[in-house]
Amino acid sequence: MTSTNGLEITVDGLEGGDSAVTVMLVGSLDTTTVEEAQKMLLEVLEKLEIGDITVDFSELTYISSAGLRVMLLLNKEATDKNIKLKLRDMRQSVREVFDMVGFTALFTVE
Amino acid sequence: MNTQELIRIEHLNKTYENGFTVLEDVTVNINRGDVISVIGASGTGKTTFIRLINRLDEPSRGSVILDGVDLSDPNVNIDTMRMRIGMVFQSINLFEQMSVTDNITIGQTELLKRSKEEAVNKAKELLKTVGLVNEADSFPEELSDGQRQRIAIARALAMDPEIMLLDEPTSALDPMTAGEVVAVLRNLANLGTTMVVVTHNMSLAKSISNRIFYMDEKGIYEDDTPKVIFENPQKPRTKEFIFRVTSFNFALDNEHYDYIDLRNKYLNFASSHGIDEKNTDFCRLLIEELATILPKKSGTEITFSLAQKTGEFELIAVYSGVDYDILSEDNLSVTIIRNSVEGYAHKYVDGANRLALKWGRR
Repeated sequence: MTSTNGLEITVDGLEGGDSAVTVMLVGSLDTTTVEEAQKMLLEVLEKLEIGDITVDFSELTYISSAGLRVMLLLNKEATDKNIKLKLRDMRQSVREVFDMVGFTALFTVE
Repeated sequence: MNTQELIRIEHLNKTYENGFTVLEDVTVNINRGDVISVIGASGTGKTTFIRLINRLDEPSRGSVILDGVDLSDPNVNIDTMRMRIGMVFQSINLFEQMSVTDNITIGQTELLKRSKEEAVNKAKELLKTVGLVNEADSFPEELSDGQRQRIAIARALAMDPEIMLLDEPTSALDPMTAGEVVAVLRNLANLGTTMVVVTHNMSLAKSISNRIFYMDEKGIYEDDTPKVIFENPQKPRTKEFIFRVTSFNFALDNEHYDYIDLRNKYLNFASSHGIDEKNTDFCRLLIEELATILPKKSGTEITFSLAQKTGEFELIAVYSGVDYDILSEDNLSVTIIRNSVEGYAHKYVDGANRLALKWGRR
């Protein structure tokens, strides 16, 4: 687990060599936390050869365009590696930001 | 005496040695289960009021009667009576050389003469209440300020007080950790704990209390429910305080401006003006997006304001340079702003761009 100002990221499934990894985001994905989030998420993707990444949004309370850009980058990198990215359990306020910019259609949102 | 009544305050007066009277002829009842937030401008006697309740300050006149016992009676053992009143301060004083559990058990074993086992069990139960079970063996210096304040609350609760007095329990904390303490207080309110909380945090006052004391003119100027005080105050000075139009500015005058500072100042502003969580996050998003796209150079400034009466928010950005509307760009921030606000206007006057965004409470 790593922690930055206002965001905690937990990765589950990577150590066991599973092909399904779940990344949990807790807190805020804003200007101050995206750098660390981007680094962590791309590291997870790099270690994964095949399979899925699920990002659990249930404890993410805030996202801004800075966070959306990270998700967009992650989606692009995952697609390039043939890995499926899924976004799960978004809160309504976070979902609204995705909807506003038309991102809901770009991602697999569960 | 009313069976619900816990404290009766009669004709309380406090005049300092320099002749300044801060409270004059205050008479009020506090009932069991009341959660009272004491609000008002600085210097209106809020802190003095609760310090007089447990005699940390001596009243000049008047009495405080706890459960039928007059605390100003010289025959009353004030130390015994004080054990019935829990107190939590703005500055968090824990015993640094003792573990969290020892901090919570020492008063129980020394003053209430509980067995060690009984005290430890009580501490465990309270750590659950404040959400810090995993820190039982930690030392205060290993904890964040928000966690330390939660331990201070648990320590006060360990004495099974009949009432908790809290003096600005969140004001020394940053907005993020203040939220943890608010959650604990909300939980205590739901459990029926009688509390009097002095606070500048209007969201806290709104969300946990059944009564608000608005302090002004040397006393409790208006005593009513949060709904009345915040939405329909009856008296002129309360109206003035609650419905003041308020704003804050922030300069984005160079590339290295501090976004964390902007965010924290905004979050403090939002909590002290009673903006609820949903609107706090929504306005935060617009401020962050606008700050992202504005040119960071000399003269760039944003002003966020809230008209308390109409519930309208306004965000104004001023930036120098040629006549240019930054919302004419095509990027994620602009899309978010354009889809969120209810009105926007761009003007170019005397070499400065002025962009005004407006939206209502959600």
